[in-house]
Amino acid sequence: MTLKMTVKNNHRAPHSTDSASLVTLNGRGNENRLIMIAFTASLICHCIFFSVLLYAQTLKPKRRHAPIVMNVSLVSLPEYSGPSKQVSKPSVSGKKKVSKKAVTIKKKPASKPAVAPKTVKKKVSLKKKTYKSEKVKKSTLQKLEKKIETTTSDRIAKAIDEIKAKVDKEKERAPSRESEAQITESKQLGEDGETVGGKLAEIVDIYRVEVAYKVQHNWAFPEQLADGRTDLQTLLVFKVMPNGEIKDLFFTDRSGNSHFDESAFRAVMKSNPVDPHPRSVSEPYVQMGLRFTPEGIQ
Amino acid sequence: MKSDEYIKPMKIVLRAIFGCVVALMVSQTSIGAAEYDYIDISNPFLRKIPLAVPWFKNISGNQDLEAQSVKLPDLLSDTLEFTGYFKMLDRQAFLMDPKNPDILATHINFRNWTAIGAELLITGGILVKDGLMETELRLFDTIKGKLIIGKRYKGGTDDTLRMIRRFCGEVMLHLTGHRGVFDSKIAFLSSLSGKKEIYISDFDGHNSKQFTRHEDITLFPAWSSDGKWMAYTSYAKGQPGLYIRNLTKNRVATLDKQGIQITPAWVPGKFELAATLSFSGDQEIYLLTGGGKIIKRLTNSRGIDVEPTWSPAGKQMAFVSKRSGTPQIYIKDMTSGRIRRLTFQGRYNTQPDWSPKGDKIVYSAMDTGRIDIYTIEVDGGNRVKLTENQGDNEAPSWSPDGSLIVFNSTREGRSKIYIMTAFGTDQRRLISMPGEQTNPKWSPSVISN
Repeated sequence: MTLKMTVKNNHRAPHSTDSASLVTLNGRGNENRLIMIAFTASLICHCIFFSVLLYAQTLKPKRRHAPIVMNVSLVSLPEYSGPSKQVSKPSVSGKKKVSKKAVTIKKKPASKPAVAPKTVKKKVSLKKKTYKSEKVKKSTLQKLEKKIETTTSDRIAKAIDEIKAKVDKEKERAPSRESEAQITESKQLGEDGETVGGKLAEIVDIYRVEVAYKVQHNWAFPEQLADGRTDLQTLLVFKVMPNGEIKDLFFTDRSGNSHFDESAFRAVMKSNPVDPHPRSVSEPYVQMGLRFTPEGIQ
Repeated sequence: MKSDEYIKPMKIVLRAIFGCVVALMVSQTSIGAAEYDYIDISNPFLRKIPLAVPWFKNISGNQDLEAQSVKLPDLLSDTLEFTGYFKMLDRQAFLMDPKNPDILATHINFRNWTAIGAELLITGGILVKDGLMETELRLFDTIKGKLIIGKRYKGGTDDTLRMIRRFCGEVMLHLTGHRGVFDSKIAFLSSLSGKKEIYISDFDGHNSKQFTRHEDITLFPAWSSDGKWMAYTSYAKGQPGLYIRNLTKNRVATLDKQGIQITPAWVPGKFELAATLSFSGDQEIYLLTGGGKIIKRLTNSRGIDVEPTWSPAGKQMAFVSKRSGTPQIYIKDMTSGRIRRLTFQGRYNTQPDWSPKGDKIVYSAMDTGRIDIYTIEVDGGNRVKLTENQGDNEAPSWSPDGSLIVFNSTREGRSKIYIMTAFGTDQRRLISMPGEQTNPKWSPSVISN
């Protein structure tokens, strides 16, 4: 780009020299002017090129990153249950299937047991008149057999349904894994579509929250050391390497209460190492920022 | 001229481009500074510092010290746990040989301690040398793998308690900037002997001893700021009279005035005290010498003025007055003489005690038929209820470091002595003694054990 532009400028130069030659009859002046014009033109092009580059850089992470401040209530945060929620629904549907099958299985014996009470009633009457013990034995045996059949069939049905549910779960997981793989592949290929970028940002954000949760779990601070102040604030920044190792931990702001600052620092250090990066994240590190405040103490 | 005309716009364009580039670069750096996404963490999971205290090492190998190597770390753990700052980790979780503990930084594997959650570690070694017992105690920061405090104490075998408490004081000094409560005592009233008498116990409620033997009703114990004198009221002479008594020497001063003499409070750093006297007909607060002479009258209003308590610098005095119709807490500035009302909520606010840190006043107040303990900031803001739904809770008194409050409560039936942190947490019974115990007063941290 820059080369082309300079050539064009060189072509233009002779036209412009006509007017300039009236003032500067010296040939050197023309040459200098040409060089200067070429130089300025190339400089302009360079500046535009680099500024575009700089601007493009600033745009990239903005799309991926979450808002600057994320207010996450870590107290009420349950353990990461992203996939389990998805799994729970199909398992419910699986159960419904089980119940239907169980009903169909039960229906067949249900007609006979329905007779069975009648025989029992007869048995009562037979006791007085003609008591046939063999028939009673047979009927009870039949009952027991049916019961065993139904129970075993129930169990088998349940087992089958459980296996089916498992298969369903795996099926559901499989596409998500595929999608994760697609994300990584697309990323490696340099495709930076908005949806993929959004998913990646979500995954990184979830990972960040997980790390923050671990740090919070390791944060020990006696309320007496806050001296009743709830306006303390400590900001810590660190990098999480792909293997979960915490690096480059430093304060970006201190509270003024050394006990408070120290407790926050210890919490992060105690959490080292955290869980490794999710598979879909191929960043060299995940940048973490934590804001510690004692608001939840009182 | 024409060349100039040509060059000028070029210059302008160049300047504009340069300006744009600079602006872009500046914006880039500003984005760099604010690029961190901060996640808020506002609730510490643990409200106490996890501390590990393994068994002490018997350095000399003396068989007689085997029992001490187990007993002393237990004593140290109990002493530090009492403060409410520490969570003592279970020794069964320790990743070490309990019989052969490493006590030096060079030998300690700090990862074994951080793995079980310990942030601090105290190791100890004991030996007997020349008939004296030597105790080496070290406090380590397990996260940084650093020695924070290292002390060696020498003394007789009877001095082990003092050694442990002295080291605990060092730990607290490092943590809070104050030596803690280990050099303090608690005076309280008990009906153990059949009459209300003053008893004095260690800070942890142990080793209680009877102090007064008037064989009559005794009330309102008050420690002098040097911990050498105690003022109190006794009905020994029929009327409630003031006694100013030395704790070690047999010296007692009384006041030669008619009427009731109650609720004494020593001025910090002086051999002077304020007390309520009624010889003028009305209950007013007077400033007295330690010898029982009246210096001046401090309050002058209709209705009773009782229960004075001094700010740590002795420049202000809080007290209870019924001048507005109901008992409320007021603060008098001793320099200007100006009096302002502190409490406005409720119709019964009494027994104020000024925090050693100077920022708060703890008091008891009746609310919905029950008496509970509250703290309020000296400017009247941030009123906090510390006890609730646990009987009547009265007579709060600050620990010398301002981290704990001792009080009496009827939560288990008869009135007993309890303590809690300055924020109302960790409420627990302090003294186990037959009879009723009331009106505890925490001493300053000057009494040697």
